[in-house]
Amino acid sequence: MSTDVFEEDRFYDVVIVGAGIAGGIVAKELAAAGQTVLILEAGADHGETWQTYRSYLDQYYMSMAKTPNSPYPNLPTLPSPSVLDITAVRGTQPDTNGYFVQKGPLPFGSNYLRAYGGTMLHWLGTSLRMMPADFEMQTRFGKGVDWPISYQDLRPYYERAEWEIGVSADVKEQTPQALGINPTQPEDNEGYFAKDYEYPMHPIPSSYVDGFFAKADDMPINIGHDDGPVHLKVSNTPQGRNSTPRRPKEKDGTFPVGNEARAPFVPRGATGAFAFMGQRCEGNSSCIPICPIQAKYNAMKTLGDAIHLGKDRLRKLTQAVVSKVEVGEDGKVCGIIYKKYPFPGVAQFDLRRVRARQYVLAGGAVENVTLALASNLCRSSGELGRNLMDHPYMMCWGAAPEPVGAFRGPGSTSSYANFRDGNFRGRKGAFRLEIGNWGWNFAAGSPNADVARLVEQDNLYGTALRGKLYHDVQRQVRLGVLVEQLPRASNRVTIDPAYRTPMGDFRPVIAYDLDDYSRAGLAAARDVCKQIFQRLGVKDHTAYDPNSAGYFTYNGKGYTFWGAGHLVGTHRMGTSRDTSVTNSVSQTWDHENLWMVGCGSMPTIATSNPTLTLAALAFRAADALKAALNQEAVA
Amino acid sequence: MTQDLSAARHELCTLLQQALMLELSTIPPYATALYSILQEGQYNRSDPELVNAEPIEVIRQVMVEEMLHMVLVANVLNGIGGTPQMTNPDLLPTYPHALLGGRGPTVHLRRFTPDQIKTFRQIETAPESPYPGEHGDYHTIGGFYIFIKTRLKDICDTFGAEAIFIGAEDRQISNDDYYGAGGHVIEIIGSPEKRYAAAIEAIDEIIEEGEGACLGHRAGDNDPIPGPADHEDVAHYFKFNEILHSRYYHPNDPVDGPPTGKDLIVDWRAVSPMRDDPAQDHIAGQKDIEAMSHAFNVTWSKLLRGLERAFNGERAALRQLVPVMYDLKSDATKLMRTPLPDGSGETVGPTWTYLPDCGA
Repeated sequence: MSTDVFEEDRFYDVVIVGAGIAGGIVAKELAAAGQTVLILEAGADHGETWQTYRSYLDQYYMSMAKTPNSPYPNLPTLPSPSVLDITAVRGTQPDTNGYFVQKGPLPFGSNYLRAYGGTMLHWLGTSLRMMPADFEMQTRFGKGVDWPISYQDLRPYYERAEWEIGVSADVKEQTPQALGINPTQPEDNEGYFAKDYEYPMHPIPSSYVDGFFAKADDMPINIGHDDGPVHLKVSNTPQGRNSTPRRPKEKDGTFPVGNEARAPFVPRGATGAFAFMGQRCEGNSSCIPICPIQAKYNAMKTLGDAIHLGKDRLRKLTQAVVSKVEVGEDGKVCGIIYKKYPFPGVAQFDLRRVRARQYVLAGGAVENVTLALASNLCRSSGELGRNLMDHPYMMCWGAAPEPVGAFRGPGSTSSYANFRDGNFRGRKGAFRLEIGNWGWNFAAGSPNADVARLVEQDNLYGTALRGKLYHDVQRQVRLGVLVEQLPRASNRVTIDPAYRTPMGDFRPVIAYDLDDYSRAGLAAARDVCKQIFQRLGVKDHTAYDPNSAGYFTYNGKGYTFWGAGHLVGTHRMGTSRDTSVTNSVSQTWDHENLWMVGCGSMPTIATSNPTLTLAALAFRAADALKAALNQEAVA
Repeated sequence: MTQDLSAARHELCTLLQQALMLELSTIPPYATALYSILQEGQYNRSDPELVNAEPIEVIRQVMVEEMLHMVLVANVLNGIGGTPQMTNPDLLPTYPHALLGGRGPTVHLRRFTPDQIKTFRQIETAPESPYPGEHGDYHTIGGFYIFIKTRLKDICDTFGAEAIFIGAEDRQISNDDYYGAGGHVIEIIGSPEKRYAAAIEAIDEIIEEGEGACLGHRAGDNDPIPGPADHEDVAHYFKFNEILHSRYYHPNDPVDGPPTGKDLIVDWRAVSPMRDDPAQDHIAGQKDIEAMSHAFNVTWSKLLRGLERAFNGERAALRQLVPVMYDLKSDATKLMRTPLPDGSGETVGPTWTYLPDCGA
């Protein structure tokens, strides 16, 4: 191994670290604008070829535990966090089972994927916009912080994000009013969508399970305080998976998207040689961890567009682990050093340096931070790495009084969005109740666990076993609670020289806890689930094991939470260099040619799965980046 | 010409109904070959290498395009006020089946073998010249469609398009109802002239996807492969040739030369040893197997009935057929994993028999 740094002779307009959705969007926008771009991806694979994607599928079919990362490569030299690594953190000794070094007091339960295409390869596809109130948490509720931008500022970028991902939904069903939310300000109901805006595709049909839960619609639920009751409503979830594209209403055959006219959406199926697959969702029911036909959006589609648009102006380099960002005396970034490894899994590499005008970190909320900390960047606010948030995810499950056709369709097609806003947010976290389509799969390992139970405990076999299994599994229902978390300085990602990967890079060291705000939200949500189950005649089978890693108590009762894979907040945007890492367009305060893009930019997490917001923020950052490059060119 | 209008309309309806059955009759042989290929894991569980992913996809693409063609034919037939029939036992294909009423090749239900792929290639062969087809002397699918086109043209010239295209527009299947990756559905709607033009366009689309643009002078079929680069796809004939040559075509490859694109890996061994032309008497007296075979035929009948409903005004029925097609595949592969009771080592296969009274 040589310690000499090889200087790359090609100088780029922009270097992007991370080939996921954020990096993909920025790359596509810049490539379309004629800039030269280099994308560096640490992952070992090239998922856009069908061979690699097929090998992912094989890996998935053969995996006993079909966890989100199970189909994808997990190199000893380039580990990804896995949900199987999560154990309770006890005492002062950190848990070092997995890639994360967990300092607790509670384990951080979320994962992500370090591979070409990023964590989008295993996301569910939920594509929710935030609520207007979510941008003003401090002003409205005295909790957390306000965003430097409002919902209306982000709205045109949401449109572009929805058309990039290809979201299937109906605007009429997605306004706060239609979702059955009691908003904290009546004007939140105005202009949630731009006039004449349409999602690119019609909604994905709601599942039979959704129809079962809809029987409780209009049931009043009181969640306390002065809001008055909320009237339950099952609403279809906007999803980043292909359905029937909309036909234009306008005479000129276009749709207004982000202040421009667009041609009707053309669904994009699989990348590479299998492009004829996946132009519609077929209900394969394995969105997490892998859509076999790629009807679900993944970032390889956007990256493919970027590569096509960029031609020889865009270069994509995988197996390139960025280990240091170098800063000059003027405070500007002057180079990036990466480790190019020839053999996946072998800790042998060349060090290379590449230079550009602008640098973009798009490796996700944790990797962006470990790299920035390792490079001693962005220190003035002291906020870098802090305010790590997730959606603490708690499940309630039971047996319906009738078969509901579990294990069919995408993982979730509807939710109760009623509790995403309301005056109760002054005291407890808002939440969304996701209706699961896959029985007790995530909750209790069904149907495999049911087979084991029926064989070993009930001594069943043959026809009787099949009959009982079918009877039980077909009645399984599950609600998933996604509660909001507030930014806390003590929930943070740090680095420690004692913990490194075999490649010599820092492992993320994470301290994490749930505050009473989120715990109160989870407890309230548990109560709502009980009421829904009672109304529908569902026998509650929910059980929270005190030995489980995510066990916690609130007001004397025990609950278990998991990670939702929504890693947010570690390099938040804001209005001042004293309280935030970047400005409102993701440009770091401390280094004017360094941009940190992704979920880490979000000052608060609210109740929406963060991908759509991150995509909107990436478009916003790309616009600012283009302006900065143009300005530089003029100067 | 002394033909009167009703005879002319009857002639067109008969031809298009034949075309509908022709498209349908290609699906069982294609699907049988496709489902006989052992996929990863089934082949060798301890070492799940990639086997035949590409041939599977190539055949699947062709089959999906045949489904599109069936929809296009149904639209043209509905455009002229006909009534598509999908469940008439007198019209439905049985196997071995002689295409084009005996003028075309005879197709058998066989597993994935080079010989069967050669038969498929023969099915999709372009006529050497359009002229015999125009005069009713056709021996290929392309020639048959050329004949339909010629008759449609002549009859519209005689009686006017407004006398021929009298079908209700709400019977037209649209892109909102039918999806597949085989291209876009063409609706036969608008003024009589527009409907006529759309009908010709639909027939041309079928010819091009089958045998290649300009009657097979190029491999390309004028349709883009979905994706940012808009590469041109190749026609069915050439797709089957790709499998036989273990290589992909470029759209501009000359038709008389071999493909010059990237490698395509084919493993002819990773296939269920299904006995040719599966028949009920192979499994006579085996109750369990008969029940499986019956289940397959029930699913197949359900599909045909659904198609008939969809082509006769109940367009939304198409969407309900997606899970039925999955069932069909699952039922077929179950049969192909079941050894024949005679100890030959060969396996059972689907017979693709329509059951008029199965109540599905």
